[in-house]
Amino acid sequence: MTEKLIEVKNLKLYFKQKSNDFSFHPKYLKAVDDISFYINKGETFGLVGESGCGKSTVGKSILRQYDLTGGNIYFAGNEIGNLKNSKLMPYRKKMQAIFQDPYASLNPVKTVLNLVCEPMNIHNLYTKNERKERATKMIETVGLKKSDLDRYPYEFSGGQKQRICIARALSINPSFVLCDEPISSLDVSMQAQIVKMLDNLQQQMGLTYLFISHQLLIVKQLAQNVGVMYLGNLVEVGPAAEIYKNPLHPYTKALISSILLPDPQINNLDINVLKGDIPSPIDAPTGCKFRTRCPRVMAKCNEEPTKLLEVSPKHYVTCHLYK
Amino acid sequence: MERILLEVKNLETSFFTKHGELKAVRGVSFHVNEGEVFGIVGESGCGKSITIKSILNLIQEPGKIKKGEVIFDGVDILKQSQKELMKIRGNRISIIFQDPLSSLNPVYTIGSKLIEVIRRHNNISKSNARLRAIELLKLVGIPLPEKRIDSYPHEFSGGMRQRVMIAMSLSCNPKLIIADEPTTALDVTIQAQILKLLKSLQENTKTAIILITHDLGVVAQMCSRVAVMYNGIIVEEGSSEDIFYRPQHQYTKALINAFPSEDNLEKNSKLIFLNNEGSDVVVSDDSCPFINKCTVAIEICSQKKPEFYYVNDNHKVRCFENKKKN
Repeated sequence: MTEKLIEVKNLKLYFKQKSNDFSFHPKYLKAVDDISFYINKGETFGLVGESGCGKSTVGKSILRQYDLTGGNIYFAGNEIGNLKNSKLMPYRKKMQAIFQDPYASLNPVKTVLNLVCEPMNIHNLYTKNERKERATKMIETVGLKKSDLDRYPYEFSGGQKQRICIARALSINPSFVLCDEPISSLDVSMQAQIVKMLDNLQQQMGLTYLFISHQLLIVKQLAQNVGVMYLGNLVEVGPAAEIYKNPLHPYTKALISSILLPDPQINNLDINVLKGDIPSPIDAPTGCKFRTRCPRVMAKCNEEPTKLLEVSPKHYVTCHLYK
Repeated sequence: MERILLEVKNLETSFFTKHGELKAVRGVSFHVNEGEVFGIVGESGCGKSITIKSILNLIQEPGKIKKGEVIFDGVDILKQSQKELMKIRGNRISIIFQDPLSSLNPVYTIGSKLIEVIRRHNNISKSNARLRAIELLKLVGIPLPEKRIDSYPHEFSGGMRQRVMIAMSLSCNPKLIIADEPTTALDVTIQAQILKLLKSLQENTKTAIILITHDLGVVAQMCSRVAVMYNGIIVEEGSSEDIFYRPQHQYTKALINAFPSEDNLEKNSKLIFLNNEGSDVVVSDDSCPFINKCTVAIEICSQKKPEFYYVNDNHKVRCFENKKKN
């Protein structure tokens, strides 16, 4: 019986811009503009898109690092979008995160033991001895040694640091883990190992992941369902295999065709490459935001398309090409 | 028969620190033919960027090029005076770096920088240099080049800045361009544009390119020949087809396997960490650099550093086990 662990409904995150003039109409950066999706317990939802699409903002909103401009966020059926401070703490215990830059994520003056125990300290869990035991167990699970607990972050490589971050995130047995580009800054061989590790841990601990990445092939390996974002909108959502095999939105098609495979006989570079640059989210195009780069643009695209039309079972797209 | 444009012989570069000598490049030899795209693949710390800087004689204290020759068009770059080097760098050999934002001076317009490069190596008036700069911007696909020439780097997106870098690198019609991870910092749809541009420009101008990357997909699309580096030396070198379809070295095979495949992950598969990590790095000249991670190591691998064994005329590998097998 699959239950929804995380549900996001009509999520909006607008950031007001400082204006230099005396205009009464402030500009808004619509980082997240009416997004809806859900993640079943024990599954991985992949959120993909390029710079400025708003995927990291979605992740941080779920963790309640931002106050929402609009919409709802549900954790196991409970609305958390409007909760603050102490009311959020019981949920924070069940939600953890691994971010992109392991150098920035680890306090350089703390030992690995301190770092891995930090979530347990904050949530007042376990006795001192139990914390050390759990930290030891977690550090060994991620392939490091017990003696590493007494060392400092600078003594480790990028991949090792990221593993410390994983040990820390999982030390309090969360249900949900936000993985925001957790492997992009790592070497290729390390990326493969960390992905395998995250997958194994998910099986062992029954974790639910929101996996945010621009690396489409990695997402395909891990995610059951995938959402594609462009300039704050979800342009396509569906089962991972479906999205990759049968992409509907022209942007999804462009993303997938730009994947370069390690096979000299397959010539990807001749495939239609998208023209132009990603517009600024502050001055996003009106109507369909993708119309300035879309190879299938029509007159109708000056109007906003209906959000997430179900075109085939569980496969949704936001595009005038589909009715 | 292709003409050799650049030949690197037994290059050794080390950094002398208070903790001892760090041997970043430990005997690297390769050649680049005229007009070809040669790839150097490796992960962080393998020495690929230091190799490139050594080729252009750009190593500074506490680094030192200990040994080696870099023969470019018949002349050893490592033996040239600063004056001679100035005529080569930016002119006959140019570089594109990974992060265009740190390569472009933020207080100068991109036009002024382009014009500066053009005039440094050509006897040409300011107005003619400006015309040439506009032509170059158009060539690399910058819209409205006659206006954008007076823009500042921060007014461009990452992809546009990299196009400007490409324009700069082409400005003096170099025979060789060195591109150090030129698309790593770019979005994937922009990467596709930039690589397509580089490839078509390269085909038209017949400039040779050394393309350094960790991305095997980029290598497969762009390079005709590839060298794989690990811990300061080249462990395997061959044509693109040799490397991808007939990899010989365990590290090359592991890199190819690490590329996310179409299939799903094997459940609970064993983890193997490839790179020497953190302060556990101990690299000896008396053993194979891959000894700590190799799954097929034999006795001799811990006693001697392997020489190249030729699988065929163009495909070579540094591996005792491989040689023994064949």
